[in-house]
Parts: sequence; structure tokens; C-alpha cells
Amino acid sequence: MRKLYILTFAMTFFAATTVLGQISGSAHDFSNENWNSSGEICIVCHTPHNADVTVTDAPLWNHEVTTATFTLYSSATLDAAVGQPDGSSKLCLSCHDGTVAVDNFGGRTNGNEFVSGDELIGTDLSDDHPVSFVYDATLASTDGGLYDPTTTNSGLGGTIDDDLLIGNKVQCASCHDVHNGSGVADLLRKSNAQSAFCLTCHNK
Amino acid sequence: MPVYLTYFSVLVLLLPGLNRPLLAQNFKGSMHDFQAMGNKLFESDKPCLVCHPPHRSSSAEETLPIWSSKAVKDTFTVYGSAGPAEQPGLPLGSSKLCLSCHDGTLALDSWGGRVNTVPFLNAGFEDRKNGLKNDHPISVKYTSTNAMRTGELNDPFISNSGLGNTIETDMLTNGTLQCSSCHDVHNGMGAGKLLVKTNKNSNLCLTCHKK
Repeated sequence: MRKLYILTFAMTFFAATTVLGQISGSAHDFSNENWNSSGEICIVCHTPHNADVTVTDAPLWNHEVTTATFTLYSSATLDAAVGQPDGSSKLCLSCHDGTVAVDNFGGRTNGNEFVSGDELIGTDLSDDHPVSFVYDATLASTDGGLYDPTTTNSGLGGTIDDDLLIGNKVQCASCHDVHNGSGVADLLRKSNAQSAFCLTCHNK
Repeated sequence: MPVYLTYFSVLVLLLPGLNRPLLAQNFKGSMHDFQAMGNKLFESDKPCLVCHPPHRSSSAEETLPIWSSKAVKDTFTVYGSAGPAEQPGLPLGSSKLCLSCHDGTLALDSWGGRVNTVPFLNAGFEDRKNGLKNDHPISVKYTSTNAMRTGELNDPFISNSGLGNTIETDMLTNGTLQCSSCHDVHNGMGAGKLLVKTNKNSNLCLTCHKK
């Protein structure tokens, strides 16, 4: 009987540890919102039919895309070339910049649910960590305060370049997993306890 | 053999079918029951006839049950994405039959060699005029190998479909994803949009997609 308890515990433990995180129940699970009558999760961003093929940074896109012009981050010590948000960051900002309604999906353009509070990034990115810039060995060398992304471990199995950069650029998705794959708070890709995530790239 | 054993054997043989709804009960009144839809195009009292004539069926589609020689197209613009996913081929098998109405270019009443231009399905949800580029890929191989390679899909040979068996057994056709993986043309399960199971909480998406 004791062996059965041990076996059951072991099986539950291993089952639990393989489920890291999932979108269901996360901050991006809008299935129970009153503005989403479908009761579905994926549909706010993705649709299996008649998707928006002009969006190439995410498959089968179903949400209105922002057309805002953003104020960019700058600082006295910035060496990176930061441009207008592009790639998947533009898709994140299509809800988080506050100019496009969250419920503008599936062709709807007159939604009235807007991101607010801490999750509202807005169109002024000067107060946010920069995104949409190339982070490569050259930048690391020029800056002097960054690890070489092509040789430094990300802590997620490969190098920073393998795991965190999207086409060698830093994007929102470098730090955040939109689908909550890691199950870490704030949809982070890994824990930032002791600022470990910051210190993955920043050599302090 | 004792009588009770005969009854028992019959019950055991019937068991696998007992938890599935009778097809006719969900086909009638579904979007594919053109009689119920009041569609004047087709004979009013024979909803099956639209696709399955008992005689003079198409010899071109021999692998499928007495197909009606509805004109079928072979070439489509397929889905493509930049990710590491398997690239889809041209629609095969039953998917071609779905598209023979749903592609938006072949009229619903193009029978037996006749290729009509009206009427089409309404432009909108059923219309695939943009080709398949903006639709979920079909005719893609979905194997344990490509599930592992992308890291984003559940292993079809191990994961439950939620329909009684694995994804591979219940949803794939020769190891490939087709229209019939998600949609039951006869509305057997009675889920909305002729789905094989409900997509509430995106459960159908999340059967295969590991999110």
C-alpha cells in the first residue's frame, strides 16, 4: 500500500511539473469576458478561416493592428538603434498602446474595451524598456554593459540569441510569453526573482 | 450457447456505438441539410442526394462513398508561414470535396460535367476566394516528429482527442490534417459550425496546439 502512495505521489509530481503554464486561466484568457460572446480563448487574436495575411509575425491573425506612431525610448547611454515598434511587438501594442480596442477582433472596428492601468503601455515608449532593436555581439561590445547574446546562456536551454531574440532583435516577446508558456507572473518567460531576468542580458 | 450470452455478445458489439449520437439526428437541421435551409437549388426531400446519388456516382472519386460528380478543383494557393511548421500540400481526398463548394469559385450546382457560375456560396465566412492562404493549413503531415520539432503541438499518437481515442486515430487522415479533422460534414456531434467537438474555451484548438 505504501508503494502505491509513493507511486501516486511520484506520478502526480511529474505530471504537475510538465505543465509549466498555459493560456487558459492566464491574463490573456478572455473567454469569460462579457465582450467576448464566443466563449473561446484563441479567437481574440487568431482565427482558422479568413485570417489577416498582411500580418506575417503571427499565424492566422484576427485582431485589428495599431497604426499609431510611437515616441521612442532614448537615454544618454543607449547604443542600440531603436526604431518604431515592428514585428510581434506591434501586435502586442495593438492592445497595449490603448489606441485599439481589445474587442476589435474578427473584423469588428467599433469595440469599446481598452487596456488600462498597469497593462497600458500607451504610445509614449520613452518610459518603457526599448524594443525593436538589434541586439548582437557588436552592440554588446559597443555598449560594454551587455553580454554577448550569441554566446551567453539564456537560462532557458540555449543562448540569448536562440531563446530570447526574434530575428536577432529584442521585442516584447523577448521577456514576455503571450501564451503564458512559463506560468511565471506577468507572463514572463522566466522568473525575475533577484532580477535574474534583467541580469541575463545586462552585465551588472 | 446460453441465451444470455447471445444477448450479452450483441450488447458488447453495440457498445462502441452507444455513446455516439445517431448521425441522422444531427445532420437534419444542420447547415448541410439543404432541405431544412429551404434551399431551392436541391430537391426538397432528399438532403443526402446533394452529395451522394445512389446511382451514376462519380468514378473519379472512387475512394469516397458514391460521390455525386460535383465538379472538383485541384489547384489552390495554400497556407504558408515563416515558422518551422510542416508546409502544406495541395488539398487531398475529402478536403477537395469540401472545397468543391466552399472555395467560392465552383457553383453549388455544378453536377455531372456541368460547370456553372451561379449560385455561389455567399462571400464571407464560407467563401475561400482568397485561396487557402488565410486559413488554417490542411493536408499537412502531423506526426510525433513534427510535433516535437515545432515544440508547439501535442504528440498526436499519445494525446487524447477528447473523442475517445488519440488525435491520430480520431482526427487525422493517413497522418495528415484535413478539413474533416475539425469539421464533421454530417454534423455528427451537433457542435456549432459542424465541429467535431465544441470549441468552448478553445478546447478544439488546444487539443493539438500546446498553449
